[in-house]
Amino acid sequence: MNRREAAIDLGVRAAFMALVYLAFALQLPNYYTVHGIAALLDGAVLIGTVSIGVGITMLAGEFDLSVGSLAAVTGVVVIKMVGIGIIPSLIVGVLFAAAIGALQGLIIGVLGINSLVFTIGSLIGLRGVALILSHENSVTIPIDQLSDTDFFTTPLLGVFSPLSAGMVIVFVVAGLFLRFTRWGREIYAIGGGRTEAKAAGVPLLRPMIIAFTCSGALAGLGGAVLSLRLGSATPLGFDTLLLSAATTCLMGGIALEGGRGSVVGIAIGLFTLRFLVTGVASLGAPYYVQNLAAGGLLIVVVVVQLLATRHRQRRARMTLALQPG
Amino acid sequence: MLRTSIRSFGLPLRGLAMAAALLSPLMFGHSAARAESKGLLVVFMPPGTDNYLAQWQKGARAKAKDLGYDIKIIESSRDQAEQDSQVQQEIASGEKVSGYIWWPYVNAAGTGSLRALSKTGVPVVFTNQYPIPGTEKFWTAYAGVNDFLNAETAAKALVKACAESKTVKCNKGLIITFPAGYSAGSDREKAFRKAAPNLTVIQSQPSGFMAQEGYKTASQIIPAHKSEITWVYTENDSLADGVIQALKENGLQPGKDVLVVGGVCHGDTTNLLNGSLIGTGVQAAFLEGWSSVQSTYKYLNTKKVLDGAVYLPDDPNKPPSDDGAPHRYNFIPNPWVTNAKADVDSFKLWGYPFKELCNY
Repeated sequence: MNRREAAIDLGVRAAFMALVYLAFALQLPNYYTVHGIAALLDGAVLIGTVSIGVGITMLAGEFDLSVGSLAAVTGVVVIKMVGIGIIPSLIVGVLFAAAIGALQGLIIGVLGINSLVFTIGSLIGLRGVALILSHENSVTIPIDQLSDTDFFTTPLLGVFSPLSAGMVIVFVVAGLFLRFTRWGREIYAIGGGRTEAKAAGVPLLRPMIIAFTCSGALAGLGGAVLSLRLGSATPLGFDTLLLSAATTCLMGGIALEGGRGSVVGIAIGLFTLRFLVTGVASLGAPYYVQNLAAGGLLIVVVVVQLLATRHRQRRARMTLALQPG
Repeated sequence: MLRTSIRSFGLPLRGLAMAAALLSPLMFGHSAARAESKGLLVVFMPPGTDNYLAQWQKGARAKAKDLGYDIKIIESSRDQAEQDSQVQQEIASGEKVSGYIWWPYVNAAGTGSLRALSKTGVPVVFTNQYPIPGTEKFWTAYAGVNDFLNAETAAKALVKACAESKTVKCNKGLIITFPAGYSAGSDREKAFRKAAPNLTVIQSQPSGFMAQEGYKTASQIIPAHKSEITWVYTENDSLADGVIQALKENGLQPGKDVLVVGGVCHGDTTNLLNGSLIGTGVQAAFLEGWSSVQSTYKYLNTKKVLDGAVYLPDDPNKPPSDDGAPHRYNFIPNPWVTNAKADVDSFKLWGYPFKELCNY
């Protein structure tokens, strides 16, 4: 896909997102009020933050299945450490998660283990760590201190709270990193074709470690922030997070085989999914409708994407065949 | 080149049109659901994919209709973060709500959302999970099951069955609980242990709510303790169904070698009637939903809450009256039924027979 085709691809996805938004905005007033949009943005923070990390590993041609468990462990760690202060505990939590991510990247890169296989192990193992650290129960901030975390969702600038503004910053930084830095381009390179990347002198280990560090840190950030906002963490929490993050990435055009996609696409996928799931739930539809709608939407997007790719390839072949000589 | 690219995206555009057509029924379906009524009750709860929760919804809808209220049930995935997002979204909608009914997936983790609901000034009726001490200022009334009483009833029934059994000398046993972090599970476990101090617990294992989860958990732990298990307490009969299957596969005969108690009729009653379960408690999901809506209505009608707790009468034929104010804690009855067919067949509560309350 060349740059122009990629731009059109994003345009079509954005139009699709707008269509989903409009479908619900016609019915739900909170889809166009300041408070409503602020709530939509706040509700997107967890999945948005984690999706960027998952998307980066997908761009590298890998997959991090452990994000939900890592978010849960980090949530437990942060709530248990909240006595040292909200921001310090948040920083400790994110550094802890980044370290776990880096270690996973190092092991996968050095040993050449399939990341799907390895992160299935860490998905299960980290859940066990969360259960041990929490003594198999929810850990909470004292009820009289719940208001200490209100600042996360206090309106900051129009529809933005510190939480949603933070998510936007993470999106921008990740986008700039992937597009304009050497390390970011290396992630695309090893995802687009590992043999070719190696032949071109791109190191394999560094981008692998960076991709998994990002994934770990962002899963930790999402888990930590949400746990602080809720005032508690549960060892079995965030178990649907991986599925939501993967759906977001696929809806945003991140290729499973790696090397193709963008942070803008992830943002589009995120809001397409959030507009749909939030809208269906707000209408009071049964839970299965949420599943049907999200699953159906993903299938529509993937099938249309596949048909478009085949159509484009056929046209390219025909053009080649018609060329003289 | 550009024209070629745009042509190649003609398909996605047609896909957009298809998706628009798919989405439109959702919108129009909602419009039809809103008729004129006395007000709107909004329920936040985990998904109705569990048959207990589906029955709860039926009871709540039936009572809301009876009282002339619209009801909107917002189901979350089994994830407190998702439920919190739904609460924020509902509050932001500015929708005129008469009362909220709050069923958190993880009680402790839901306190922040409960607090947010309470700040709207709309009455909040807590249901199903016993409120955490210290959260009293965030809710108006509790309506639903008493987890402590439920487990205590099951424990006493088990102790009695042990004393009467000619084949089992109860000593060591297992507790299979709801998932880790689900407060109803830990509340029940605490109450069970307190009510049956002479029973030795070899292992307490968090599991889930459904038979397949009970089976999976029991299959993993029974082989290691096969020779010493004399009783098993699960926290509902659905989990017990799974445990009974696992016991049989390990060569143990429920009711003869091992006494099993779930304490909440939940789904199928085959194992109750064939004696694999020693009996059951009728904690009826339908009546819990019904009672939650009734308590909300009683508050809206009187603007009063009476201090203390009340156990709603276990009248076989007549449901409790809609008149008067609710209490702070409004517990549904939890009568015990033995595994004798005659007891099961003759049982009635609030005009509903056992099969209607327990077989779903």
